[in-house]
Amino acid sequence: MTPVALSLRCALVLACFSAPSLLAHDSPEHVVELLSARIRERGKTAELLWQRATEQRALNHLAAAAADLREAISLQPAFIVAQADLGRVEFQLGDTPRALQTLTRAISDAGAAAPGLLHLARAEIRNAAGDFKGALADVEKAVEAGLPPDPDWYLLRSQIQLRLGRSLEAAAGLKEGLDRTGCAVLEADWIDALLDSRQAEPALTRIEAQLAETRCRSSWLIRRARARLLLGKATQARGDLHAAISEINGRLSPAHPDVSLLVDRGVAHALLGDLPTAQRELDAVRKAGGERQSTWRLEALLGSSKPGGPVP
Amino acid sequence: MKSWLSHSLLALAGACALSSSAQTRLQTNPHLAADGRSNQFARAPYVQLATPTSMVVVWRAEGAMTPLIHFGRSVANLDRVLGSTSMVTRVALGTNKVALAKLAETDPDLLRLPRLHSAPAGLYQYEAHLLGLLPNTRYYYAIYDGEHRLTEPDVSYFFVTQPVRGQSKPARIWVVGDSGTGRETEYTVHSAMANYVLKDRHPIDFYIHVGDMAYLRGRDVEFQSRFFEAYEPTLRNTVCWPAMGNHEGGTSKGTNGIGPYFDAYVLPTRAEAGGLASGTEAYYSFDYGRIHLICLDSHDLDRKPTGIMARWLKMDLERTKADWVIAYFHHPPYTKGTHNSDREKQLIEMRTHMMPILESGGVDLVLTGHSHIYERSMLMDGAYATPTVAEGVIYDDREGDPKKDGPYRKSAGITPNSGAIQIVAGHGGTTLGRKGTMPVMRKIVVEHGSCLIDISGDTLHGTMINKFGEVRDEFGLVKRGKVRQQRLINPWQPAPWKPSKYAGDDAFSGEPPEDFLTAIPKFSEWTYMAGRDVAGLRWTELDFPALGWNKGQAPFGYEYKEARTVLADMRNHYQRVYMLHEFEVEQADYIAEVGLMINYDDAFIAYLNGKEVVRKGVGKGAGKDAQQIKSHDATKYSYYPLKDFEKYLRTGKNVLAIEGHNAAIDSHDFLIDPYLIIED
Repeated sequence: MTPVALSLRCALVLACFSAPSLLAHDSPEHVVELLSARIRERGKTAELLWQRATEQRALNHLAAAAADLREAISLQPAFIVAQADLGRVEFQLGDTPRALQTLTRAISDAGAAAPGLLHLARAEIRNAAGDFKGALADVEKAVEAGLPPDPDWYLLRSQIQLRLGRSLEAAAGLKEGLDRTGCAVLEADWIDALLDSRQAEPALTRIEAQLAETRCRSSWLIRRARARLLLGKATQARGDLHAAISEINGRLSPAHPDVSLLVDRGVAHALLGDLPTAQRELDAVRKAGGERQSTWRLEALLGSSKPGGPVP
Repeated sequence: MKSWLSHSLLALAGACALSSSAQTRLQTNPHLAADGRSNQFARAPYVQLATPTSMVVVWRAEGAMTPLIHFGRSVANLDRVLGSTSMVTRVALGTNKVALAKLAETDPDLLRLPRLHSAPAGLYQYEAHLLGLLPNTRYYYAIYDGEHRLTEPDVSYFFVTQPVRGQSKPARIWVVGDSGTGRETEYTVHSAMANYVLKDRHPIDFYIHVGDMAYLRGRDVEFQSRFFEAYEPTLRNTVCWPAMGNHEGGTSKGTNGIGPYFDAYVLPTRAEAGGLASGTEAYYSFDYGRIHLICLDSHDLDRKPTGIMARWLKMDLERTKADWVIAYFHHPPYTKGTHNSDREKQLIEMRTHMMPILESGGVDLVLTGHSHIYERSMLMDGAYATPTVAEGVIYDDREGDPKKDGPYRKSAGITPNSGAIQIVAGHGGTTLGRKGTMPVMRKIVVEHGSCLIDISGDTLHGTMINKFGEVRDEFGLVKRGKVRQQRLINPWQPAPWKPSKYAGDDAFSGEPPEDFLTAIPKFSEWTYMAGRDVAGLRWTELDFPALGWNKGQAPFGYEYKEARTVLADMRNHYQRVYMLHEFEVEQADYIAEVGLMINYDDAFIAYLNGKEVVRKGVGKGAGKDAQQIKSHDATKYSYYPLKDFEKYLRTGKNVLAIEGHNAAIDSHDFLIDPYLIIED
């Protein structure tokens, strides 16, 4: 168990007290029915409405969830968790302006003591909407508000920083997150950020260690190719990329491909300079519903000719 | 350590209501005193986070102690000792700001200890990390408070360290889900497994709980009474590796790793037991010999492929070199039990986002719960569509029973998309149900039970045992040589099942807890008002001055021979009776459930300290405004947990109020026969 700061504990105790008072266990439809009956019996309360919204979200009934959340907030304007949830639901409904408006109002109402939870929710939405500067400002405010060392926000912050071209800051933040949590995903992203900031040698040491340990090597072979390209070792890089593509071909299920492997293969083709194939991979990823968050590096490579980009 | 902790406890005593009331609670709790368990513990010792060279032993005490653990390879020679300096101590200090401020002045060291999230104030949790152990070796242990031995000298206090990673060792895994009710069924499912493995002379090596282990909200007291007490004999020597269920999610958050669930378990975050470091206890992996096990949080974390959990999963699968890959989490990708995986978001997302990663990573077995049923699939791959169909996703549609048509087969080692078996094991204790037929399933059993998974070399054998100890399903999977899989266009399909309305009312609502104390006994004397209506709801509140009310012994009624206070004038004159009874609770935050046992004719509403907590047979309104009264015969006691009791129950004096209603003024009979029970 990870000890966390007292202030955060207090915040969480508060959050948990206002967490759903779950009813008897059955499907969400049944729980919605029971909550509706309870609301009819006892009248509407912010907590009951929020509980029902939680179940509606589990059923993907987002419009109904949003309606309940709005009513919960109207009954209890300082209901932080409901405000963060409403912002996220509105975003899921495709209404980004409204989602941002909801969260901005909640942050404004809370004043200087706005909880990190609200800033983090707005950061996620701003990031997805492409407002990277605003998103970064929100993550920083959330961190100031006392977030515990959680891999999730380290990752979010670094992704935003990378999109803003601040790869040195991203690498430093990821290293801090790695040291504090040990999370392997942060290590992978840290190495990517080192490569983005052209620090090939320290990255290569880590990559070799990973290659010695791992069974499926494609993602690390691609990283080694990037490092080798930065070091001017194009032939070796090409070998790594071909090996990576070959391994991915063996792993991909033709009927139901793992989207992340398609992205990796697209990156490998792009680094090899086969941009049409890389573009086809990107199209396949998009067709399979791959999010921009997973494809931005491939998109950048398709438009790049810098070292660390396609093999000459 | 003891001196300053004892001092601190004295400082806390006033605010935390520890000392005498806690002692009395223990002394008067027949369950704790009578069944041979060590009543010095607030939570009996249990083992956690096994590795080849280490083990964690955890226990709780009411108040501080001088914790020592003696351990060794012979029960007669516990030759190694670990003291408090090598332990993690967590404490529950309560939320009384005045007491905490005082403590900050008198004993700031106590405030620096890591806290338990919401355990009753005054509880200490000790986590002893035993290091430098030999792999695959049995050790015995004993817990001491200074010189005083707390665990009885019993050979059942032992643990076995994990085998060396990468070395093959047969393993028996117990899998159970959705069990944490504290009811009889949870105990019988557990004992059915225990008797089976005893008869089989093959104990379990570890235990996977696929979530919903502490109904209804995963509160600390629910963990204690519905998980730790129910499984105590197993937990003291066998590690439980858990996945968080939605009910634990009522109080614990995977997003930040805080809550009673995370207090209860010590889980890997930095690959301490093998696997890949996740940086969080919400999802993790570990190795047992040549088996790689992965736990995901399907409840409250981002399940998208771009989310950190999915990215960690992919990396973890890419790294493992084990022979077997088993994944477990709460929400099933395929089910038509009490849940429908074609309709519910978490289930759909686990199928569409996580299953492609798991299957391209070569997963062999997926264990889930949530849906209160046993469902076991054929050998399948790539069923990500909604709704789920069997066509084109089944490799082998046979039963896979080694004793009948032979086991399923896959290539040796980890091969992508070569087929997995799905098991929904949500049948561990709570109300069962079924909504339809999931077409990829080979076996569907609506009975309580649990599963044993045996893995030896290249062979996996699965057994489902019901609560009577009967084997209800068996299947095998052999990974040997090179097997070329072919998707079946028209696989075998289970018979259609006609969906009915929801199987149950409230989960386990009809069944009282296994262990309880009586707060208001049967045949108690109540304060009551008959023949006159009482305005409003003030009468349901504590300290209502019941001037002019009568005293009478329950049951109340007429025409029922069991009535002890006979309301001879009720028929044709009045339709309602109002009843009050006070009761004491020594420490409200120890209470897991409060429930009303009542035999009634025709209807009633119950209130706890002025708040409505049960309504049966009264459509709407209350008192003289009550409407839509349904007729009901008093034939037996029914059990109703009091809704949201934790919000209304107080330490000290409480009042239960009941208004009993007759369906018609000329009804020929009436009965209200209540008593109140408490599960702590």
